[in-house]
Amino acid sequence: MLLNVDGVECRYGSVKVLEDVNLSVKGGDFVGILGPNGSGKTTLLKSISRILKPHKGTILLNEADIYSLKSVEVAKQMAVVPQETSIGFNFSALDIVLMGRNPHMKRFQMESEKDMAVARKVMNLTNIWHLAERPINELSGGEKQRVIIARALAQEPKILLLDEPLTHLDIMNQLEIMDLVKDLCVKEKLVVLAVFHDFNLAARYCNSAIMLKDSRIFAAGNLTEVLTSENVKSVFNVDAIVQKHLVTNSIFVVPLSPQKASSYKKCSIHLICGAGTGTALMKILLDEGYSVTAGVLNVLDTDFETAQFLKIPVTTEAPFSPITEKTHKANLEMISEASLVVLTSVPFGFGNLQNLEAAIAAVEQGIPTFVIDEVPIEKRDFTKGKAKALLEELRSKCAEFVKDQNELLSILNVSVEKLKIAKEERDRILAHLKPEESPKKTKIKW
Amino acid sequence: MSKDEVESTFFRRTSRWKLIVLLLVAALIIIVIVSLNFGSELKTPISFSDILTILGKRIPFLGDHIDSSSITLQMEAIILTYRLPRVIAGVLIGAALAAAGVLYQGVFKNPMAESYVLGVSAGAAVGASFAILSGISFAFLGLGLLQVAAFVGALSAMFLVYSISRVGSRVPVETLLLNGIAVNFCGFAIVGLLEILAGNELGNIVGWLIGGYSNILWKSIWSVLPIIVVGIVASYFFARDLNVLSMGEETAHHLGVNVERSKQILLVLASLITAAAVSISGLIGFVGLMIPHLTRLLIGPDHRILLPTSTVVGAIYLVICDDIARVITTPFLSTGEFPVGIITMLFGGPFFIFLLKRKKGSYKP
Amino acid sequence: MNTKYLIAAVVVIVLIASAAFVYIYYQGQPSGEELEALQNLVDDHGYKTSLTAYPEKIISVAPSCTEILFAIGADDKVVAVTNYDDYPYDFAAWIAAGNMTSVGDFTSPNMEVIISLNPDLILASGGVQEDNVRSLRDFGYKVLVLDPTSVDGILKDIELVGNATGKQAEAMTLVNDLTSRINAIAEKVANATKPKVYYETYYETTSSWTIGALAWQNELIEKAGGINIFGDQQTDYYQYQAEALIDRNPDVIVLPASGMGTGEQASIDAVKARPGWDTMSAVQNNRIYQINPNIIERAGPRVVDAIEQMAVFFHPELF
Repeated sequence: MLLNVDGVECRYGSVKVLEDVNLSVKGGDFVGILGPNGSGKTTLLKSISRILKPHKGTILLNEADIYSLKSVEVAKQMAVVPQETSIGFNFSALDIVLMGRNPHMKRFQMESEKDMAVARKVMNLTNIWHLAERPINELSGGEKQRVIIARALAQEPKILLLDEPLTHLDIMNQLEIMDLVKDLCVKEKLVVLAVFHDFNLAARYCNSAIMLKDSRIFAAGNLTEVLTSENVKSVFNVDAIVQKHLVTNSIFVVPLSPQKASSYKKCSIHLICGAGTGTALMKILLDEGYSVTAGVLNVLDTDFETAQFLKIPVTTEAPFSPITEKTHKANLEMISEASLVVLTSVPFGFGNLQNLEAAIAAVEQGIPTFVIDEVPIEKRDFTKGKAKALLEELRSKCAEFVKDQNELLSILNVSVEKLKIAKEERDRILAHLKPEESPKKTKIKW
Repeated sequence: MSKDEVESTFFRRTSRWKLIVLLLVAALIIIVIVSLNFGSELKTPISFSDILTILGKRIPFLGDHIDSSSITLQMEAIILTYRLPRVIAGVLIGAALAAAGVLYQGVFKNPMAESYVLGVSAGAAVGASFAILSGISFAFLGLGLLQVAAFVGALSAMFLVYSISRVGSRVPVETLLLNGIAVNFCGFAIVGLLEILAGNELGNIVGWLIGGYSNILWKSIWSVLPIIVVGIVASYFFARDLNVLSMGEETAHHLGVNVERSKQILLVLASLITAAAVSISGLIGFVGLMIPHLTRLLIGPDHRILLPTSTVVGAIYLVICDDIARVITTPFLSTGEFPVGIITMLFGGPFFIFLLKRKKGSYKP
Repeated sequence: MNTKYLIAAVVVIVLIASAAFVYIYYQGQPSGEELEALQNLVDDHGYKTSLTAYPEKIISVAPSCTEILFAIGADDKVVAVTNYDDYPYDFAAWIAAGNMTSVGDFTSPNMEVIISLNPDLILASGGVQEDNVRSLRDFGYKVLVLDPTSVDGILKDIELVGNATGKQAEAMTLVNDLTSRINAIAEKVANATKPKVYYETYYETTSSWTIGALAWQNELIEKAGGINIFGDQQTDYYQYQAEALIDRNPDVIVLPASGMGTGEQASIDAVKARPGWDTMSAVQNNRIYQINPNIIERAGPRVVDAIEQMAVFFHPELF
């Protein structure tokens, strides 16, 4: 089954809503159509499904101009599931699904056994057979949607056009329907063109994709080629992390909240973290306008990846390797540049125990140090008690222990300026202090 | 539900409707014969068996064997020339208006659509008013000016509304409806003006507007019967298309229906049927609007069932209303006959509300 | 001595002349009974009008009134009539020639014309003219309304007009003449079977009118030896159903139809062609007759002509 869209331009009046669109699909293609609101996704579907005739260009179905074919001929091969359906009259679900057989029935025919069989089959596939005699207006949004999908499938089409077909469906139904469609696509060599708002669903099922921007095709091709964070940024103006999921083996997209224009705060915070405990904090602090550094992190550590993405300076260590003296020193240097140090609830093994020592060093230097004690140390101490001991040392040296991230943030919000002043004060005080009068017992008071 | 259960329900439903239509047609025939009993108070009353004899005599071959000694020429004239044409007219007009209502409601997907939408009523009224006022009595193919003018007026209005609603190659139904309303307003404004200028003829104009077909002649019936019968039968061919159209024009398009052509044909058929009915009966209200709803409440929205059923129900309804009008007439005789249009609306409205409450507003299959 | 006789003769002559003068003068004036009647003219609506002398200027706003006036010889006093008047003279020609004034329409006579003529008496009919009558009386004019519901009533009207105009004798003669003609017919048709008669006031497919028991035409039909087929309806005009007419099966149909001559046969054929009418005995026996509507619809002396004509229709074998 070949569908060829060539140089198509569509207009509403004098406004161009699609320009220079080219696309070619064959059986087995599951194409996701992505794009921001107003980029022309639904228009593209409309022009293919013969609702909006293109001003320029041609659309060929099996080498024939789709607009010159009879409605019935096209309907036998192409089915459409629209975005919205409002059904005025109270037909039963079965009645509506049977209407999908309309293109195959002659004018005076009543439904035949075969038609019923097809209806039954598709209704079973979409799991609505038990709703057959129910009037459509009594069904929930999701059930209605499945009826419409069943009707489209009842047409036994070779091309299936879906316009955001998964709104109203709960997650289980979404997956079921998509699995079904994918299955048909593969087994019966259907062409599926579907408009998605949800990247991850598109990523999971589509093998190719089109990304539209401003009524033009911005990117087209294999899914992995099209769905990149660069493209997402260019088209949607949103930062997103695009990764391959280890379990589903498909890429997934994690959009990050857009960068807030925040006031630059002359303050830097050094994060001692790892294993994902610092990812969120990195982003939040950046958003708040702090400059953030981190260390020591192993390459391939989750926090490392985030830091790379967010362009945070990191003291790095080779993957899976314990922290070396050299790296530790570099970390200490970074720490001394910071106004504040935060130690997250990172699990400790022998490899990163030195990070605790770095934290202790920070406190001894008088840098305000916060310890996020969300998970009890017992649960994350893989050093047979050494980490716990070091943490106690931190406590005794007056590092500020907070129970979670939010508490930290609220403290920070209050005292960011005082932080700076206090540090200067601290330095002056320390300079006058004798070694034995180290500020062990003096609680930092704001 | 198991496969067999559903399929048997389905086929049971479809064979049930055939039974329903058959029963309704039988009921109609009985009602027609009973209606022939109603009329003026006669010096020599005509009994039910007399009626059967009179009708029986008309059946070819069989009729010659019937003993017709008890009936007089006068009785025959009364039944065959005055009552029978009137009842048959009721059947035709009721059927036509109800069928047209079904078609309009399906095409417009609008429950307020009825036979007079698209300016048909206003067009007919303008034509009729001019005919009444002109006082010209010409006969076109044996039909009076009034009938021809009403028919032509109705169709002209429809074509007018259709042409001004065209947007590119499509004729959107919302535009049609709105333009129909506009043309209706204009048309009735003209009629209002004509009423003011009417003088003596005012009563005739008002009488026509209310609707009624007493003293109808056989030749008027023959003139519209082909149009109405052919129109209704032809529209049945599009019944499944109507089902699909009622899902929405885009959806119908996707399901292989040639939307514009189907709409055109259905609207033309509906308007032809309505124009034919209106030309002999004036504007009888309610039938085109409510009978389709009534039937839909009882047997569902499938037009393949709805169309024939509504047709027969419409016929039954109008014949019964006309019988009532005739019976009420006698005390009112000095003011002329009781208009059947008032009866249709008077009884229909409350009955429909009652039915709606019983069924809680929508059809349950 | 001669002078005495001369004076006596002159006095006698003067006396005689005065007496003659007075006699001649008062001859034309009402006195006694007649004066009393003149002062108590009660018309058909029970309204009492009082005149002090016989009117010199009379206006008639209804053709029936005109016919009565002229039948009793009060012609010279009539100064204006309506456009519809056509008997016993061609009043239209008179009006055109300027010998008679027209007050215009029967339904709405021209008030200004009437006022400008300043009549002593106005004769009107009932029904549509009631408003006009009221206006005229408000203006102070003397109006007599002639609105009879029976033949007797018509005769009484003739008497009344006689009293009002000083033509009592002529009126009486006319009344006697008419009465004897009526009686003559009654005698002739006394023993004949009365045919059922349908009298058509107005016909249209959707609404047709005939007369009921209270119209005077009903009485005319009876006096002519027939029975009004809708005589059981207690009303003057009756809107009938075609069915009912076919059912009652009239023997004779009487059509008030103007235009004798070329139009005549056509309208009878039209009647025969009406749906279902071919079953009527009147149609089958070709007993459809036309009659001049003016003699039968005007409450004047010519109704007796109508009776006579209809008697011939109903009982041709007797004439």
